Amino acid sequence: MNTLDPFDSNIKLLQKVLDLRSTNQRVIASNIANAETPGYARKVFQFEEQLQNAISAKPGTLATTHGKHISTSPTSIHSVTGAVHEIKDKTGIGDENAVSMDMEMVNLSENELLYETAAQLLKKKFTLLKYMIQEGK
Amino acid sequence: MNSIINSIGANPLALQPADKNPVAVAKSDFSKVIQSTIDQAVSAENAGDRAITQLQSGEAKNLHETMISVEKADISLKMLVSFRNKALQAYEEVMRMQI
Amino acid sequence: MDIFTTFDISASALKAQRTRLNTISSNLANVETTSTPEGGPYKKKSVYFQTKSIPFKEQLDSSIKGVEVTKILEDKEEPKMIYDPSHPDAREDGYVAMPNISVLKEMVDMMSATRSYEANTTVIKSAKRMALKALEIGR
Repeated sequence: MNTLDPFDSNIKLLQKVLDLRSTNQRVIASNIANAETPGYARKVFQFEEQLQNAISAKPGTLATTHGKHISTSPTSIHSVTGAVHEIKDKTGIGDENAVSMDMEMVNLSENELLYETAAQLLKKKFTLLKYMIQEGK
Repeated sequence: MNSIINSIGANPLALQPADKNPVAVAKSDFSKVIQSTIDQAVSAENAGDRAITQLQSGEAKNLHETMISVEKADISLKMLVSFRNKALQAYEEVMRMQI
Repeated sequence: MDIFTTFDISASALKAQRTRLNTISSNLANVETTSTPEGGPYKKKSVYFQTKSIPFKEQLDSSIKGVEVTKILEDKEEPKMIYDPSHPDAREDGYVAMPNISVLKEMVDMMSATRSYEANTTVIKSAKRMALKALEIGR
């Protein structure tokens, strides 16, 4: 191998997770801020499935040979972007606002915890790399 | 245990073609490795600096991206330095050898 | 779009809820006000929330919105008529026009506004913790 690249795919994965959870946090904040705005459609940021596909993607899956081809699923972690979906209120009562404050608060806590976990793991990996480099005196 | 031994035997290292001078090959590969390490450290350093200015000027996307860029620059540089130290060590040791 | 967008979103919500709380306290303070400079009894005020766009650089997040109070609406219903001939504002037939404010409803509304306010401060604290954790990556 020509380049000694110490940053393995797990680091790229953790970085991507941080990006996605950061966006998720903004979506949840938007829901909580608009919990009582009439007509507001609750938003959900979905990325878990795309991420799963990217992690477990085998090299044999459809690859794009031309820049204009649209890939059916992201085969690289780098290209996972996630999507914001709107959930409209279908109950027909009240102010058409489908945001449940409690649900959003739970999602907020969970998202925050997973973000901090990813940050902690990333920190650990970097510390380990630095240790390996410096202890090999 | 057996499976590990088998798998090691199953993929023998590709042998270098016999007509290439082995010393020259080793030297060119090694210099390539050093060159690419230097390049990587330099570009990581630049990326880290860019990330810092982006954060301060307000156009940074996320705080963690800046931190990660800077960390990667740090590690790349440290790796380069330790590379150099090791090479220097090896050189000095060779010089010390009594012929 | 950066980590501070969350702060902007939640800050807008805090401001909106505070405005709502102010109108509620104005309503409660004026529950017995029978005459105003504009004439007639005090009219109950309520806030109207609307989504507010947070400026950022990426199109992907154009659906993320803050909230703002765009209008303060005055109650259009008929005022309550209470029979009280001794009241200085009583009409000839002895009836006084009182503001159409139910203290109970205002208290419930106030609790809801407080809960929203607290929820949004929780969001801000959560975002701050996440940012601090990201800073630790290099430590």
